[in-house]
Amino acid sequence: MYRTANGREIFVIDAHTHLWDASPENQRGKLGKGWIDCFYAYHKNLSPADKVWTLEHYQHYSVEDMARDLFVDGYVDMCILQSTNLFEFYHTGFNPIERNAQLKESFPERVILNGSFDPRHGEDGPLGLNALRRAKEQYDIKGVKLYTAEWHTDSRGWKLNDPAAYPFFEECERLGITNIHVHKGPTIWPLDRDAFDVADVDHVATDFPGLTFIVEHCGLPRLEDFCWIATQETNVWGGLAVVMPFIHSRPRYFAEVMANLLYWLGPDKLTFASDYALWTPGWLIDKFMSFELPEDIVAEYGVRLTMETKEKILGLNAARLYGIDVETKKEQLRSIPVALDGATPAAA
Amino acid sequence: MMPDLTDVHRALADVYDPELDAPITELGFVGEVHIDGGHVTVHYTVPTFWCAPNFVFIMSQDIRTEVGRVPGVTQVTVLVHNNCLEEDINAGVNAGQSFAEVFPADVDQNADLEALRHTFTVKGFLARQDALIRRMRRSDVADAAIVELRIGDVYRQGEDLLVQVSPWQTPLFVPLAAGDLARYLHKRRRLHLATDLEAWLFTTVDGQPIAAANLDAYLRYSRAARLNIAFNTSLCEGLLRTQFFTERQYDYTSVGDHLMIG
Repeated sequence: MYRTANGREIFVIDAHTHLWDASPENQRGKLGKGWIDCFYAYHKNLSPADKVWTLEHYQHYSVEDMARDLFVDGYVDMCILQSTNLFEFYHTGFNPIERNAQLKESFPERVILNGSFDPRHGEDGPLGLNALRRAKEQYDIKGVKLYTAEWHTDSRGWKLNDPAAYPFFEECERLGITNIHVHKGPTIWPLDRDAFDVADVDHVATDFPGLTFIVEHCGLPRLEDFCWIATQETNVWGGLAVVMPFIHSRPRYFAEVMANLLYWLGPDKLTFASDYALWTPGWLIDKFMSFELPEDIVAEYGVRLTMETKEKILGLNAARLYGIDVETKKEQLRSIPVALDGATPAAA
Repeated sequence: MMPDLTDVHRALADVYDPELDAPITELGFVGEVHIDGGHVTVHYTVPTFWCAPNFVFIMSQDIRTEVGRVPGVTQVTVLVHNNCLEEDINAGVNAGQSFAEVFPADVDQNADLEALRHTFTVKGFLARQDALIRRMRRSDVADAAIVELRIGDVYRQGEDLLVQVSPWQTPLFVPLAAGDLARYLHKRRRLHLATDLEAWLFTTVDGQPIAAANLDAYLRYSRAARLNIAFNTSLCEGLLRTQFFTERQYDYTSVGDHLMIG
């Protein structure tokens, strides 16, 4: 909960978070190391100096650390945990659903746990159709995170519109897993194409109107193509992970990206995310709440970042996607303390 | 004759990151350059381990080509660092192999990197054009006048431009736009678009004129392309500095800043 100077209570959902283990013991050689080193560079470069963690802490933090950073110090009422499996890079995976579930078990009312699938796993693989069904049964997941850049045996990525992916989307529709979070990242295969191409989102969004496709990182680094698709397809949304931290280092860039997104997508299809533990939500939300679009950008784009828009982005939009009644949830959370190490933070 | 280090650096300044539309020398990618007789070895570093290998391959190849043209150079070795496929890329490029030859299983043998390069050259064109048009609009040059301009109607005066919108009117002053004009014309030349004084200054990437009525819609896409390149450039430079030039860790200036007008 973020409270404004005049007492307005802003409900916050951090829509893209992870509980990962990238410790050296879990790394599978240089790929696992290369992965977390790259993440750490993002963290170090775009965080304010006093918010930078040590590499050791960054590689492996605890459930308690995460709860403190989000729910105690970070204004976050609820978070959505997204799975990133990366079994080729980490012995037990980076943050598969089983690891993320630890936070859900400790803070069930505050955590939305998402699953994932990978069409190359077929029926019975660890990320195959049956695993998706089991995740629905066990955790009642309402969303999945898809990572098309994931390496798998000889394959170095897949596309959303691969024929093999269609039975998975059909199964999602059947099971009521309607929120499809898509990471558009450096898919390495096929090598000769644009690795960040967002065109496949367009195909599946048309073919599955009952599903919502939330493109994490707003398709950056292909903002122009993403905006175009998201305007055509009402069921394509933008997740603000990675866009957010620019608010500190390059506020003008942040302002213009936000103006573009508000212009093309409007205020109702954008979700706030810290991308934890890439960044921590507290400082991002502080800065976002006091941020105003420069006048020249308001004039040019004809959009405003009003308090109502901020409130939608910070929580109301994601609440709508996940069927959360905000007033009921606020009431419920008021009576549940966030206990760390068995004690409340104030006592600890 | 031994190749001259200055000439080698000048050649490297003609190598662009295709995605960021900026020379690799300005982006800080170029590391040690070693000259041994006619043999030049160039080390360069890309910002992340996961930088797309297709773009990395293009840069390595371009370095080899450009440095190979420097007088006195008999052999070029290009070594990229900090990339997940650096071993394959280094071996392949230095053996003069094509991308498809180096990665036969991962590349559509009918596709070629030139098509990919062209896609991004077009984005670079739009971004540079957008920056220049943006400067003009901010100095109250009317859309109807902007789309009618010939290259010969624009005069450089230091960092500024004077724009002659009609023969019987005082030219309009557009501050700080000379650099944007130079960058835009440079891209037009690369795309083999007309750059003579009689040519239209602003055309589509296919050389077609833009109607004043369509300018708004046209710019809606190009301004996103411009912003995207600026955003990526600053991100890539930041990641590079954080890992390899820690003294510049909190230096948030960027080569892409010239695209951010306002």
